[in-house]
Amino acid sequence: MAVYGRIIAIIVWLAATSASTGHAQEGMSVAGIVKEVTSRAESPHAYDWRRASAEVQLGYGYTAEANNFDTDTVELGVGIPVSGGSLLRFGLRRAMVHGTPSSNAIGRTPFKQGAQSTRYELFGGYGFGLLEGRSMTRFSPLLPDFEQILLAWGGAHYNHLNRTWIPMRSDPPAPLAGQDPAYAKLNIEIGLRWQVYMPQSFGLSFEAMQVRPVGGSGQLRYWAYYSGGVLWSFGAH
Amino acid sequence: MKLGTAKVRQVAVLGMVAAVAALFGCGHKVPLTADFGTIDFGSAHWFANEQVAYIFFSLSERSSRLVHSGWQMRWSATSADGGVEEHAFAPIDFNQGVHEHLQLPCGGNRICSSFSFKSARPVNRVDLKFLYDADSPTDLQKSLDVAKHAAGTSSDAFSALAYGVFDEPNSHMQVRIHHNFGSPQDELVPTFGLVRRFHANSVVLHGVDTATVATAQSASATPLLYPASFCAGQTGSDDLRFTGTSAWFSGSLDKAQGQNGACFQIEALDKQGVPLPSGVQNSFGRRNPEISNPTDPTILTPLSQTTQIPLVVRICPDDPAAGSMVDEDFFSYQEFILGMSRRPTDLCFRIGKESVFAKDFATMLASRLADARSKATTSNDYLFVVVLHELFTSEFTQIQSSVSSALYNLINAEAHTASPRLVGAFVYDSTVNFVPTATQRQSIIWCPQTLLPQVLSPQTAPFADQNCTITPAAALDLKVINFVAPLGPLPSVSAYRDYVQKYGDKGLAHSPSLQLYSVPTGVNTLNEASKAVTYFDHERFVIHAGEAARMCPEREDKTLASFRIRTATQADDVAGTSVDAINKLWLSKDAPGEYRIGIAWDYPFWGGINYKAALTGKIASVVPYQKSSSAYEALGDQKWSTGSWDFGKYTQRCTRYCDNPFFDATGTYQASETWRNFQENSCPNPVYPQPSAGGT
Repeated sequence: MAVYGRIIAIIVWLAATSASTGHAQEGMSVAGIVKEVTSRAESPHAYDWRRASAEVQLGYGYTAEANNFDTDTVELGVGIPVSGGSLLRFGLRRAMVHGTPSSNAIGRTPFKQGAQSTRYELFGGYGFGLLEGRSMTRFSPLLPDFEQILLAWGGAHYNHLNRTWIPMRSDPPAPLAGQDPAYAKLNIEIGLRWQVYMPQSFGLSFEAMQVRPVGGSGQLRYWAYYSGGVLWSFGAH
Repeated sequence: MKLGTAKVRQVAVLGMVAAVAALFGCGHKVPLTADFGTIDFGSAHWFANEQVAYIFFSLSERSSRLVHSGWQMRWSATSADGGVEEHAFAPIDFNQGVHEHLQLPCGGNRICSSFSFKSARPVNRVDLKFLYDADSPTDLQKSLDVAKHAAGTSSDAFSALAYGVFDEPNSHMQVRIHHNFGSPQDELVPTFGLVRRFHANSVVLHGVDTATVATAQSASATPLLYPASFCAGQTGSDDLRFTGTSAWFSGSLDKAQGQNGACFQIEALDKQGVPLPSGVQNSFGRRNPEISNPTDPTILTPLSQTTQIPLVVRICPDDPAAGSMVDEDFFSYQEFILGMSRRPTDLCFRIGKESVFAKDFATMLASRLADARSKATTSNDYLFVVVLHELFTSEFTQIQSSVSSALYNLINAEAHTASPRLVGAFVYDSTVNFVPTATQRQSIIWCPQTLLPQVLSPQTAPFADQNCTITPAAALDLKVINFVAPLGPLPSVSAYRDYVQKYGDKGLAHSPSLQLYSVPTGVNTLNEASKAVTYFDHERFVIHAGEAARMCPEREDKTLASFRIRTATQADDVAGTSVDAINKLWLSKDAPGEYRIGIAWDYPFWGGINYKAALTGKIASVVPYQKSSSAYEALGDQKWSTGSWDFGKYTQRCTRYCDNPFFDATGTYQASETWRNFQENSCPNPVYPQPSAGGT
């Protein structure tokens, strides 16, 4: 509850700041004009992610199921900017599920806990740009200015159980000690995605999503997915 | 509401923050769910003779959950004063059993185990408890009712029944143990990890008659004859201590001595080698039935060459309808294929005077037969070979009927006479309109039979299947299309005309040679149940005194049903016995004797036409190509296609110990069966145990 209290306090403060900024704009001060220019630039000076033909991303992530198993992921994705500052993205993710000392301990008792199994996830989704702009760091010019965008993300992924690395095979893994295998073919993803672009077509991405299975998946009703990665853009100006 | 106002912005920001809060608000832990295994089998026994209780149990649970697990047991027994003596739950120490006990995986996620403990008083109940962790109360429990086996001398009073089996030469004996718990069954007990020790000794050959065996079996209530009361007082040599369920005695037993088994003594030991209170018991092992699979006798085919009497019948040239009743091409072909080219007509018929023809034809048959007999230089049977050329419609078959009836009447008149006799007839007609009666077909081959129109297509090969011949059509290589398959030697006139019209080959078949053989009849030919049976004097099946035999129908190759068997002294008016009924006699004490073997038959002749077939056509529709190959179309009863029959291979002979149990083809000892009383309609094909260096 303390977390929610803080969030509400921040919201009230933001609302108050927003109101006072409105009054300053009316004054047309130099500081106000500079702020407006910085945050409302029609296009970045050095780099425009919207003009990229595509971007390839290699990432590492963690699926945070609220159980005693660990799931590490690696993914390869392709993003395509679309009109209006949005992004289409699809790719393949390998999710590797491991037991932990805790799950192994459960495995020695007559109990089990819902957890997904090692699998491939074929994902795709759409990102709607919420915030974007050009920023400079305190280390400028040591570090270049960069372009960033925060996307509201919605998508889905298709699960293919496979204990081996050969995607074409259908070779469901054996349950781990203490695991009650949970499985749903189709899963919905919603969340936020933050992408940072350097002028040299190199960038970083971070995302946080909540995932819900479509149809039953045992005791596992939803879970979180966090990932970070590096990306390369092509065809950008 | 106007976009961009302070209030709208406040709402928008609030909405975004609320969405972020909802996104990370997934704080519910995945619950643990119960996933207990089961003790899926439990069985308990107490034997008063041994004063030992046995429990068998299996647990269905993942092996990962057994790391810190343990078993506990609680049991109650009847106390000395008739009350109940309770023993509280206590850990089972599997090293402290009366016998050795192992915990073994037994399929799936199952662990099977057993335990034995001493109790001089009857055990009433056993409660089992499986603890997932020795320090945790999480457990599985199962209560077991105890099967109490009272003291006594029947097999039910013993947990282990000992018996002997022999190797193939019947000179070495192996002692075997049957775990007598009922539940679990004998063959499953080792999977529960029970390992017992025994001491066997004093082996001596001993013969027992079937009555003694029956009495012992009744008293012991087991076909294993344990304990073998009739062995009391029999002492011999050898001494053997073994662990497990079998071991070979080291000494050999004289095969020449005719005793049908051997006695020995045995006592059950605990794992330290101390005898159990059940004491020394007598056991018995029975020698294997001495059986063989003979190949004799071999019966040679009785078929011999026939003397063919050729006849040609067609319409009289002066008949007004003669012009439309003759196809000279086809008539020439008929004569050619039967090897009587340019033979003049022996008898002609006239339309409207069919009765005259019938009478004349019968008279001519008798005359030609008498003529052949007068000129005979061999003792061959006689066979009429008739070319019948006619082009009648399907409604008019009077001439064909007359021919068929006259032939049959003459043949039938000699059906039961000794050879040389008229044995049958072969008629090559022009049309497929006439089919002789079933009775007539027993002695007359009438060709052609119905030929379907599609047989003229090169893509369909089974000409013979549609013809009067019985040979399956040859496999023709039609990989290169547009090839024409040969028509076969005996087409109908319409099939012949179609073939010639399409392919222009009037030869059809080349170099024909008709060979027909018959079964000579004589004193050895008997009529049994409307079938003729030819018995063979020189090939006899002999069962000596003390022996038995049985037929082996599972070795059937479509010939077996034709055999008939009769004793050498059996009266001719008593029918022989079919093979499926002979075992009743051969397995009885009356089996010894000489048996005549016969073959039952319906059709007395066999033969065929040798000819050359030509495959003609054009490769890829351009290059002409022709390939000739020798062909043979068989006629008559296919039964006679075999030159000899190994009658012996359908039999099994037992020379000694026929009333003893036997090993089956899987090496399983059929203790409750004997070779003589084995009811299955087959012959045992035993796989015997062999003494090995290890002694087991």
